[in-house]
Amino acid sequence: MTDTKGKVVLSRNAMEEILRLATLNVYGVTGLAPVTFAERFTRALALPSTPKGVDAQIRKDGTIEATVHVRLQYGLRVSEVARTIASQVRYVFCSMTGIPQERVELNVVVWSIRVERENE
Amino acid sequence: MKEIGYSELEALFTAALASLESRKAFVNGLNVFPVPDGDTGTNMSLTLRTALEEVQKNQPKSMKEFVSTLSAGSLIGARGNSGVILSQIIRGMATAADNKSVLTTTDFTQMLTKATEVAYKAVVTPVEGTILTVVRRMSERAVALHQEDYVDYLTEVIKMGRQAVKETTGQLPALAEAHVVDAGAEGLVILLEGMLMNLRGESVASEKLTLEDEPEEHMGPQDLTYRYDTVLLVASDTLPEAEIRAKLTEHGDSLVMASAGGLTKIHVHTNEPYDTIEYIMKFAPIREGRIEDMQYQADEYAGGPASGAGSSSRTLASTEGCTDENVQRAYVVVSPGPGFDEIFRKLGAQIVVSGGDTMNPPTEAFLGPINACKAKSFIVFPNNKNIIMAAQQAADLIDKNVQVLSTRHPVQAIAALVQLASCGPDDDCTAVANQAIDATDFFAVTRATKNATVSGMLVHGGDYMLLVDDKLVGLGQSIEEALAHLSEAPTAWDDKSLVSVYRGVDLAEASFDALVAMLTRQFPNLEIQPYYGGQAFYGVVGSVE
Repeated sequence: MTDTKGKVVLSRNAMEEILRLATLNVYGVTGLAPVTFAERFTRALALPSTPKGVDAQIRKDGTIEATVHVRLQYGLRVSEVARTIASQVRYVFCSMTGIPQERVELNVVVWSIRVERENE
Repeated sequence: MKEIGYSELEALFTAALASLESRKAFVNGLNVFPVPDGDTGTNMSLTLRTALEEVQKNQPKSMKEFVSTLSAGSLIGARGNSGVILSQIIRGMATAADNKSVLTTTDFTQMLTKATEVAYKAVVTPVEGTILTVVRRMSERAVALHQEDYVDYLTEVIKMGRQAVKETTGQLPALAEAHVVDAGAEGLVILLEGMLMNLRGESVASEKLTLEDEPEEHMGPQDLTYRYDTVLLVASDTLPEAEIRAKLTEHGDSLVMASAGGLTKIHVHTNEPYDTIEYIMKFAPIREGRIEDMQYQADEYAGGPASGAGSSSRTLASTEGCTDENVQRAYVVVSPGPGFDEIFRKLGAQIVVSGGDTMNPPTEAFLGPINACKAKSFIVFPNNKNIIMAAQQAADLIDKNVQVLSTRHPVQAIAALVQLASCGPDDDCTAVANQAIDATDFFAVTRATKNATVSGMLVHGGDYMLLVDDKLVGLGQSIEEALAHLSEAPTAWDDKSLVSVYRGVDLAEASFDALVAMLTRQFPNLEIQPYYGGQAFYGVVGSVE
């Protein structure tokens, strides 16, 4: 983004943080999933860590490819939750950053489903 | 009544659905931006409708069977965010009722409590001021109640629900700005109100449950090549799709096949539904089927009352000029009105799909015509931000070279089509089209559907709003007043030369002429070109290029 003087730079990190928060606000998402090998390793060792869960790449043509890795609650219609994530996260991301919606490609990866025993 | 069994519970849910369906449009209208495109009411009622259809099909014989069928049905029927939350609420209620044969009000309280618990589990950071808040507050109220009679009990629960719905306005900034309550929360209380009306013996004007997915788009009077709309649900999800597709398209069109969970849904328009059924039964048994005579529907509709929207009497999609195999590139355009249809045709569009605000064409509206068209490649102009996704989905499903351009307004497609007319076979036509799209600013005048604050401006329901590139620029008591704000538009128009304006279906010709005269005075350096667009909702739309 350029203005008359100086420029605004949006780092990959900042973008990922926005995506993270937006994703966690979607109904049905119970958590994010580890993205990198290192993260999976930490998790396997049961060390305390917060998985990043999102991955954003800025392509050469200026468009953005983002992937969110999520864990969903058991008993929900996965396709509908994924659809909601795609539209809601894109909307929040684009309205916060001012990047036009058509320049953002958003992928949703459902990593796992959280099941807990129904006690009744 | 102090106790209810499973058949009474079914009656309560059926009444709940009828109640929501009768107020669906109202709930849909509770969206935050005052341009009509909400669908919360539709989504919630379709979710519950599917659940109840599942119940009708399975004929449960006990409370346990009823609640588990209802819960499973709401899961597969869940549509949209609010539908997903509703399915969780129903699942929670089902879990608590599972081991009961009759339900007292105390049991119903447990169902509400469990519903709240289950609904909250599926979200990391619950936001207050939504359907979640309302279900929680109703369940909290229910715990404190001692009424044994269901009417007294539900009256109290709903009283709390109503209050909680009212308070949602203050809990979310977006709702406060728009002065509305949360649509999902309102929908939930409407459901309970339907239950209460049923208990009191009052009836909600209800529609009969059918196996329809949703009301089909009406067709205009016409001769159909294929007469019978045939939908089959087949008990297998491993059918040889390519083989079946090839066979069925020999004597039919608009073929859609989708598989999930051991079932395949096949939709085809054909003149020999019996042959289709016989053929499909060779592969797997048919679970369910529906055949409709589209000719009858078309005739019926042609003789019926004229629609207010003006545009719904048009065909869903027309495909003139699609039989030529030598066409290199066919254009697929979404058009909001008959005037635009004609303009697009004149500019060489082969496929014109009807659609616009509040009338988003489904993926199938693109699939059928594109599959039937013999051109080598396709460029799709969705012409609305809400249709881009459906068009893209269609493109992904079709095994042809289909490209979707992100046009958000029909005037952008017009600009692109004008440029494309001179695009040679060796040129990069997509780039040419995109350049024309980017260079075209669009504006529109519409009436606000309710009070709201948008971009810091206080909008009253009924005000005329001038939107430039989808952003609110000015307000007025008449189209003329709103349009006069065009000179304040933030876009620099120094390098522009042409303004095209399109008259909506509800605007009189004389008033339109006056508007054109006003624009001519206002922009002496620009050429003003008037057209008839025939679009609904927007009195005037236009482009500056």
